[in-house]
Amino acid sequence: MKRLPLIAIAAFALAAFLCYASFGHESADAYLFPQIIAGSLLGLCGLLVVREYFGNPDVAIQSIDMKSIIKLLPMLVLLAGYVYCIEWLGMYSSSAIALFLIAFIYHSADSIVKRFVSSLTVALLFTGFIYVIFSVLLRVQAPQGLFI
Amino acid sequence: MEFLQYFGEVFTLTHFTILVLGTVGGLILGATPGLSPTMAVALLIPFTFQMEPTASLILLGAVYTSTVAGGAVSGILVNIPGAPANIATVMDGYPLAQSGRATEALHYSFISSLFGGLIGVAVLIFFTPPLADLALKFGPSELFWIAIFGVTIIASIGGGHVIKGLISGALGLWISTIGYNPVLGEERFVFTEHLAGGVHVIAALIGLFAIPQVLTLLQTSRDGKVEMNVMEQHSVLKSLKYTITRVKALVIGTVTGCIVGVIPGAGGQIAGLVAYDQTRKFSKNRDNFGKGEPDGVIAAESANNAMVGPSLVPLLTLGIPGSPTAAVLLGGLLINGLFPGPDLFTIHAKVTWTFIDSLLVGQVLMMIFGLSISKYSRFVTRIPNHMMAATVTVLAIFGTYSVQNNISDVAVMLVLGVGMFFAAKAGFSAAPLVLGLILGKLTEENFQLGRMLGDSQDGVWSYFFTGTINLILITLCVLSIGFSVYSEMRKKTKVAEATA
Repeated sequence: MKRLPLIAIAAFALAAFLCYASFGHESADAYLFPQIIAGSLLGLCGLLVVREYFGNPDVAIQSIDMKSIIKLLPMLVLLAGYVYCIEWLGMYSSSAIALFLIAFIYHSADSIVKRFVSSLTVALLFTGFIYVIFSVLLRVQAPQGLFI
Repeated sequence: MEFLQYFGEVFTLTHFTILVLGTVGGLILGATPGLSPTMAVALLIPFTFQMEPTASLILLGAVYTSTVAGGAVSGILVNIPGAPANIATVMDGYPLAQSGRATEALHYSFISSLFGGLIGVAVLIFFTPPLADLALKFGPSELFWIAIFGVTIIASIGGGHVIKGLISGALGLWISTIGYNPVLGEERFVFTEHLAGGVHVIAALIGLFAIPQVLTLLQTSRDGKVEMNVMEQHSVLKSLKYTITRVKALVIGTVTGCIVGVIPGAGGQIAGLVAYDQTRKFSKNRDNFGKGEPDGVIAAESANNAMVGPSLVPLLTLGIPGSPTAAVLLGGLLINGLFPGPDLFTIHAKVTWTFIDSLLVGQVLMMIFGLSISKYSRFVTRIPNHMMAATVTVLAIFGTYSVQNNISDVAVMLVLGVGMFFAAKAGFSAAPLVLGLILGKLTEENFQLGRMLGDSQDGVWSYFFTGTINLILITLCVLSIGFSVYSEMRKKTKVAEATA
C-alpha cells in the first residue's frame, strides 16, 4: 500500500484555508489578486499531492526524527518565552537571560561550572555589545519592563 | 562613463570607512561557518536604517561581496564552507591545505576572487544602463509579468523541486497581500493584531534566513574543536604570478559566474559548481581535481565572485534579483525608498553609481584584507555552534524590533522562521517565498493599475496578454517552468537508470 503524501496534503490544506480566506468577501476588487494567487496555490498543491502519491517521492525531503525535535524543543520554548518576556522584563534583561539559557542548555561541556561561567560571560558581553550598538549608536527605543 | 563621475564619492571619509568596515566585517562573517551571506545581509539591514541611502547600500554591497570571498577561508582551513557558494572551493582547497599548502590555497582564492569580482562589476557597469533604458518602455502589464517571471524563475532554478518552488513563490505573494490593499486601501487578512500592518519585508527576511540557520546550528552540535591545518609561509607575489598564468581556469570561472549571475535566482553555489565542473572537463590535469588542484580553487572562487556584479543587473533594472542575497539587497533598496528601474540611473544616479563604484573598490579591499586577516581566521572557525546560535537569535530579535519598534514584527519573524525550518526539511526553499513577499506589493499594484487601464481600453485580457513585451515575458515564464520540469524529469530518469 502506498504511503500517504502527508507533506503535500498539509500544503493542500493550507492552500484550501487561504482560498477560504480569500473568497467570499463583498469587496471583490480588493480581494481579486489574493484570490488568483490562492487559486493558483491550491492548483499547485493539488498537483503536488497527485505527484507525490503516484510519482516518485521527493529526494529533497530530509527526515524529521523525534530525536532532533526533542533537541530543539527547549529552543522553541525559549523563543516563545523570550518574546513574551520582552515587554514584561525589558528587552536587554530578557536578551541576557535568553542568551545565557541558550548557551547553557546547548553547551557541550560536561562540567556544569564551565558551562555556567562561559554562558554567563557570553550573555553579559554580548548584551553589553548590543546595548552599545542599538541604544547608544542607533538610538533604538528598546521596550522597558521591570528592568531595562 | 557615468560611473567615473561619482568615483570620488566612494573615497569620502564616511563612505570609505563604511566600505572598509563592511569588507572586514563581511570577511569575518563569511569565514564563520553557519553564517551565510544572505543571512549576514538580512541581519545587517536594520543597522542601516539610521544611515543615508548611499552609505547604507555601500555597507550592504561590501558585506555581500566579502562574505562570498570570506566563505572560502573556513572551507579551505577546516573543510566547512562558510557559504553554499564556496562548496566547490572546498573540493580542492581543503586537500591543498591538508598537503601543507593552506596559505597558498587562500592566496589563490582571494586573487581569483578579485579577478572574477572586477569583471563581474564591469558587467554590471556596462549592462545595467541600457537595460534600465529598456525598462522605460514598460507599463503596468509588463511590470506585472516581470514580477511573475522573477518568482517563476527563482522557483524553478533555485534548486530543488519545481512545484514546491512555485508553491513557495505563490505563498510569498499571498502573504504580501496581508494588510492594506496598495491601490484601494482596504484592510485584508488581519487574523490577529500582530498582522495589523501586514508582514514587514525585513522581519520576514530575517526570520526566513536567520532562524532556520539558528535551529540547524543547534541541531548539528559543533563544539568549536576543529582540526585546523597549519598555515605555511608563502609569497603573495608568487601566488599572484601563478594565478595569472592559470588563464583557462580564470576565464571559465569568470565567464560562468557572469552568466549564472545574470540568470535570476541562480546564485553563487551554482556558479561555483558549474565553473569547477567545466574547468575539470577542459583540464589536462583532470585526475588531480579533488586531490588539491589549484585550478579547482581558482575556477570556483573567480566564478562565485564574478556572479556578484551581474546578479545586480536584473535587480537594479527590473527588480528581479540574480541570487537569494540580491533578493535581500532588494529589500534594502526598497527600505531606502529606491525602486529598481530607470529612476535609479536618473533621479538617484549619485546613490546608484556610488554604490556600484564602491563594489569595484570593495573587490580590491576584499583581496587586500582577505590576504592579511585570513591567518587569524582560526578564531572565528572555532566559535561553537551554540554560542553562534545564541548571538544570532538575539541579533535577529533586536534587528527585527528596531525596524518599526514593534514587538509584533518579532512574533511574525519567529513564526515565519520556525515554519521555514520545518518547510525546508520538507523540500521547500526560502528564496522564492522571500521574492514573492518582496515583489508582492509591486505585482498587485501593477495588476490593479493594469486592470483599470485595460477597462478603459480594449479590455483587461487584451491588455495583459497582447503586445510583444508581454508575450515575450509570458513565454519566458512558461519556458522557465517547462525547462525545470524537463531537467527534473531527466534527472529522475538518470537516477532510475543508475539504480536499475
